[in-house]
Amino acid sequence: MSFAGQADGAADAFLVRRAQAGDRDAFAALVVRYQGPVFRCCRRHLDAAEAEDAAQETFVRAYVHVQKIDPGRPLLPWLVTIARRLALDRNRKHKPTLDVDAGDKPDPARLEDRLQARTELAIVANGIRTLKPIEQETLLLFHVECLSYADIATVLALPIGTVMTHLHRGRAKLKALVDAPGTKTAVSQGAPR
Amino acid sequence: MSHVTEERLAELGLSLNREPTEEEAAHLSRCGACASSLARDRALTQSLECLPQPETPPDFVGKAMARVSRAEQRAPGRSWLLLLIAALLSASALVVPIALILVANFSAVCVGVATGVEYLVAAVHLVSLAASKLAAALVGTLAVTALAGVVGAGVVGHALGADAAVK
Repeated sequence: MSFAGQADGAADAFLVRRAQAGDRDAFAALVVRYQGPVFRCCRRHLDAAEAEDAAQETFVRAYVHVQKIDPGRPLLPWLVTIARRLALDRNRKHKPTLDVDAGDKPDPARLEDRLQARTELAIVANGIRTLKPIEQETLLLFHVECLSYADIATVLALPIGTVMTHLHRGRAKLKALVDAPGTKTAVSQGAPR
Repeated sequence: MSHVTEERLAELGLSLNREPTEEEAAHLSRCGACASSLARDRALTQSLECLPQPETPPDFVGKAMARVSRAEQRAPGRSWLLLLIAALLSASALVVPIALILVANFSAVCVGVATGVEYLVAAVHLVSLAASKLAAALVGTLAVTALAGVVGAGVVGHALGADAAVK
């Protein structure tokens, strides 16, 4: 895992302390830093407009309760917990789905020249929709947001063991899809997704 | 070394940065099955990390900070409102359980009240009885004392009269 927010824990702590002292620019810097994960978390449960609203509300709540933040602890799990709760409140009948079509394009520098990887990526991107919502969310929090098992357990309000089970079960299902004979051919030939 | 376990391979494959131990690395260099399994796990990890994600809307930070400013301006009024709500909730936290207990045990409360009233009446009765007895005792004592005085005076008078007659 290589999430910059974790490596920059000290910078986070500094910004949080400044924000607690009333420095709005420091808080804005935290918004800049975490807007992506917070918006993505909301977007998994809501449409684009609602997700934007919920993500902004997340930061408003973070600001209102800024004095409660412990600068010594990672900020992202706390923000994602608020964002997820807000998103679920707005969408009780939630069915987390990865919005691949509405998303931005994959990083061309990483993928453009690797047809094999692109094929597998397409299989995974489609396959993840077939997983249980909790497996999807666990996989995305781990691999996209780079949260630890413990942080995911906090966000999802689940025991760590259950988080690990969801993660490994989801991966096993995706691996089975990738390894299934004929899948890659179907995807690379442009079969309906 | 025997094959690397499936769980360990899955654990190593969770991240592109997790390194096998020296012993595992030596085995992986010799065992095509284990190496292939780890490669598949890592490829899956790479795909998951590269999944296309929705972009944050334009000027998200500006809009979020504008809402933060509005919330900041509303904050004092809201804090008073929150204080009022907190005070009402605290008061209800005291009153409501007591009321619930009283309602839930209405018959027991009635019996208790009746018993209390009975005890009160009995106590008043006892006090009044004691008071009347005390008064009676006092009156009796006074009467006996007065009678004794009268009798004493009579005796003394009689004795003095007899003495005078003798003289």
